[in-house]
Amino acid sequence: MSQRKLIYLKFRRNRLAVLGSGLLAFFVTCAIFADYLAPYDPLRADLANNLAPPSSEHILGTDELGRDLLSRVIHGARISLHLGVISVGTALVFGVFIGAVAGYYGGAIDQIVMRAVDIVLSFPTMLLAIMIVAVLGPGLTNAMIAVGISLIPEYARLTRSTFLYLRELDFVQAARMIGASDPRVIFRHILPNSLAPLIVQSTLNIATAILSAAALGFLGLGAQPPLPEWGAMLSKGRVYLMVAPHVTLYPGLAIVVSVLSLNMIGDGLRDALDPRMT
Amino acid sequence: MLRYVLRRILMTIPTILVASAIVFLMLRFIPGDPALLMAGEDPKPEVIQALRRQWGLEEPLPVQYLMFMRNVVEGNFGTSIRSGLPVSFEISLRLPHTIVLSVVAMTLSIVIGLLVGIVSSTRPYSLVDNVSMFFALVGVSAPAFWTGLMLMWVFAVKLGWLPAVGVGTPAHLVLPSIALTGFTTPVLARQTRSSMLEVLRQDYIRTARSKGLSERAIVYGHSFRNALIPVITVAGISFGRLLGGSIVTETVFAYPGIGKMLIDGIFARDYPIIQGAVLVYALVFTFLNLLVDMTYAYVDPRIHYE
Repeated sequence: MSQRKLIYLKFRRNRLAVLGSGLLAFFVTCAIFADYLAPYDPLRADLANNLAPPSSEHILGTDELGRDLLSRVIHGARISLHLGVISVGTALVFGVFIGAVAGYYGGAIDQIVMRAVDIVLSFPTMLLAIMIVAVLGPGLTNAMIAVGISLIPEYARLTRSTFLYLRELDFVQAARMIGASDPRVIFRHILPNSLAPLIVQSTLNIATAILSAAALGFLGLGAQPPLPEWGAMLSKGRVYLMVAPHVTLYPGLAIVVSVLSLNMIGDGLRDALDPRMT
Repeated sequence: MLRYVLRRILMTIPTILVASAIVFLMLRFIPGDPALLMAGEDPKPEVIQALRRQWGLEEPLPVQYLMFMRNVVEGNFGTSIRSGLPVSFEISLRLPHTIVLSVVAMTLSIVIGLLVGIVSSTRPYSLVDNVSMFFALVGVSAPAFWTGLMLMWVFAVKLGWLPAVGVGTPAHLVLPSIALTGFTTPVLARQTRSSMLEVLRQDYIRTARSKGLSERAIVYGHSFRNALIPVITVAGISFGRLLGGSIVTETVFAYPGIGKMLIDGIFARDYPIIQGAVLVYALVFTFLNLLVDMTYAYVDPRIHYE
């Protein structure tokens, strides 16, 4: 049986991982088909009907401007997933590049790069994101940049340690001995074998990115109104907590469930790819 | 060990220097004249001139940085635009609150997290283990500000048992610290559990058991100490996350700490305050990492006996 099939079967046996996959599929569907799935226009305000509790007309109720909460939550899935994937994707590209160079060449380059990474890490992640947004200004794109930058050090560290290890193995030495150029060795030999921890890390990082972006949105530093970003929705609904808790409850639940699904998948992938547990 | 300790302390100096440089540069990246930014609205020309001189804005950048550092070392972080009070004063009012909250939350986290982790590891795959680990997973997935708001709604609004905002009594600390631990406790519990499982599988544990040692002595005496090393690393990282999370939690609970000061400052465009708050966080965090590494050196015998 091929190694890939083994990994797949191990993953499938993990009930939480399968549940997580189902939930994630649900969210991705919401994100892609938001325009068709949402019963109302998420931006259409109906001030006469604001803060209405859940009813047959509005399944999750309405927010402070009378907009349908369910539609806004569904569209929020699109924003969050979009944000998560793009910030992680960018962090991945930059972080892996930095880590690969540091890990492959070692020596002085490694020291300098890693010292730089350590210095960036001397700021708590949330603070780093807030600082970047404070300089760039609030907004969805800037939030994506901030979250992306805060994720780069982790990828750099991870890739570097993987490369340090793989670089000494026989097949890499062999490739270099027959004269393969450095880029070729990196891309064709080392990188494909370092994918496993990167995939696990990326899944978990999308979860973190969604949380960080929601926090920025909650603070008013991320997606700006009227965008239906979950964190921003929580921030607006907060004032009405006493009279209309549903405005805070449901977007928050959406965050929890989507992040949970990603964490379940990430854990499942980690267990499935773990060479020790065969 | 002494060599390790000294080397580690020396390493913090360049970190602090570069971190302060980043904070310094941050303000100058924002479009606009820094003197105008720091003076606030409708400033008089004399005020702008005084600011220019104080922060050396006419000088080349490296000189500016040195003046900035000199000001910082003297304790002069500038004056808040909003309140007109020295930033260092504002910080001194708020830092104790943040520290108290963080310490309480972290202690709670460590105690609960470690206990749950140990219990789970001694009964792997049991109901207790599965339930705890599931809750840990949920805890890690829930944003701290949402759990904070939900807690607030249940305990302060609906039940009226605990105060929702502000400081004053120990009761004011309860909800914010519980919200803060929501993320770090699960992480510690999971790490403790997996570390302990790792250690409990070892041969020397089997030897201890066959010698007839009580289970309690084995778990708490032998296994726990050895499992502690990765847990300490994770605890250090968690405390960092906790500090970051406290920024949001303080905002949710209107808790007058440095975090809330930072956010209020950002919205009021109070740049001296922003600068001061970020600098304080960076310094505290660096110092924290140093402490964690020191603990590490003490606990890990490989470093201890170097």
